[in-house]
Amino acid sequence: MIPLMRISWRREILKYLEAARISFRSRAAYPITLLSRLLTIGLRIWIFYAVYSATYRSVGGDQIGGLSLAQLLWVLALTQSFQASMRPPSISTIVEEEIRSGEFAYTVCRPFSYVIYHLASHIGRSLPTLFVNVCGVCAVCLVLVGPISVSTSSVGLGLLCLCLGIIIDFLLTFSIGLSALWIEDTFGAFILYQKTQLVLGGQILPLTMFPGLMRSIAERLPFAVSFYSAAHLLVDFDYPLFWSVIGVQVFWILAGALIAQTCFRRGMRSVSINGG
Amino acid sequence: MLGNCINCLRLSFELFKLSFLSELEYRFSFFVKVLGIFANDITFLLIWYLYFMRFPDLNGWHFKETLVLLGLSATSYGWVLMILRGLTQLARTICRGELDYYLSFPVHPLSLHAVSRTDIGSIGDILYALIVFGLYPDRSLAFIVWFLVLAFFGGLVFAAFLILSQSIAFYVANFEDAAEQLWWSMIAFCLYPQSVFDGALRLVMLTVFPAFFMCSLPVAALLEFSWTKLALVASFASCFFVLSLGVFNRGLRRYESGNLISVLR
Repeated sequence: MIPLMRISWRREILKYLEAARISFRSRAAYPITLLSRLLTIGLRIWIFYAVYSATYRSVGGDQIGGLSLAQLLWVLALTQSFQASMRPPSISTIVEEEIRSGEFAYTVCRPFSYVIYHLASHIGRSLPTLFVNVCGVCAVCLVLVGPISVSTSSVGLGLLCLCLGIIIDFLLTFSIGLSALWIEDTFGAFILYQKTQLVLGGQILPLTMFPGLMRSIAERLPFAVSFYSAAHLLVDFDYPLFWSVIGVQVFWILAGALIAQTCFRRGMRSVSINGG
Repeated sequence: MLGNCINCLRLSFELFKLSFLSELEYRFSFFVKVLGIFANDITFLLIWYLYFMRFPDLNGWHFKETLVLLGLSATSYGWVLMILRGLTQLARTICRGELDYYLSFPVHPLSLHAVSRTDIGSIGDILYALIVFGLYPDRSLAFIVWFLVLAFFGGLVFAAFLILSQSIAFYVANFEDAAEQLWWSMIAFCLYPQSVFDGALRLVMLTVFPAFFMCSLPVAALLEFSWTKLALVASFASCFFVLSLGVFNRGLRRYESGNLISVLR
């Protein structure tokens, strides 16, 4: 019984790995697209450098909110690169298109979990962009502000937080995509999510510059723990901060999974599948 | 020429009306979409409000100037995206050889393609501009007129940039995604206090991404009510628009048809 279960688990995992591999290869096939996205991020980082170097000059100190100019730029650059690697296309757009075209009905009938299949494809699709973006922003930051010191543990644990953050972002955008079963067009809902992430996710204004109460609220919301916290830990590692981020991330993964599963189950009631 | 323009405007109005009515079919989605675009704009207002609360002065810029910048930029690209959304899809149409359809009409293919898609959600940008007006201390009629004139010319610079950047698809294959990134980059320059742009970055804003003429100069003209600056913006916008039309027409000669039109006898 046990060896059979092992084989079955291995087969299950192989299916999802294959889905990730296909998405990876189809994304990596268009290097011009990957590089053109990097151009936008690079330009944005250059603008951030202009804004924050003027800010640091006007304040007159070396540090604002515990971060130096170099650290701040690295945090913003990494946050931008992580977030930009996840889209476009966003998972909500993909699910919405599947629902609109009717492909959703075929996909849910296939012998795999709809949610895990999309998670695997999403990770596979994001990896080439993530690699190019991170390499690109590192080069831009090195030119603008030079290197910063990081330890092996900060890189390892920061990457762990990034993985958990990717799952949180996936679960929430996936739920938005599933809402197409009720509201037809999810563009507005997605853009609301994206823009809340822009403000409360520290993508332009780091959380360290927020007023006290707003900062403590933002740190507990899923928007900041998706990408900003991982970038912050990679640049300026701190164990108490790490454990606090992990706690919030685990909570939002459970909450996100519950929301996605509920949306999926309820949505399935309104789907009619005909043979043929 | 004039008749062609009037026809295009009439067609644009009809297509806009059609699009508006079809969007209203799904009212909930329509309102969420408008709200989404509105939230998109308000996001930057909120970010800069938080920023200026902590750092009231950024190279001589304050929250008041940033309000004008955000309102003017949103109105400039808002009206282009609302009425001429088709311009953002031009590279895609060229790459897929789908321009044939537009070539078969007795109006210029660019004008028809530009108005073939509208984005009603951009009403959110206009709503946002109204909020900015509400927050800005100067609400005189002169200010409103200057605002609208400068937003028109700012939008014209943006439209010309769209035509120019999307026309690169005539020369470079698979350029759709890159073309989209280019116009997002152009908008990115309009969302930050303009006082921080100097040196090489200012040079980029004057050449590769002419955002200086889309937002920096219009904002300066609006804040100072300067006729010289207005004339500069207007003349650059007109020349740049003519140049972009020339580039499109030249690129059109290289266009390779997708053979999508079949004639029945």
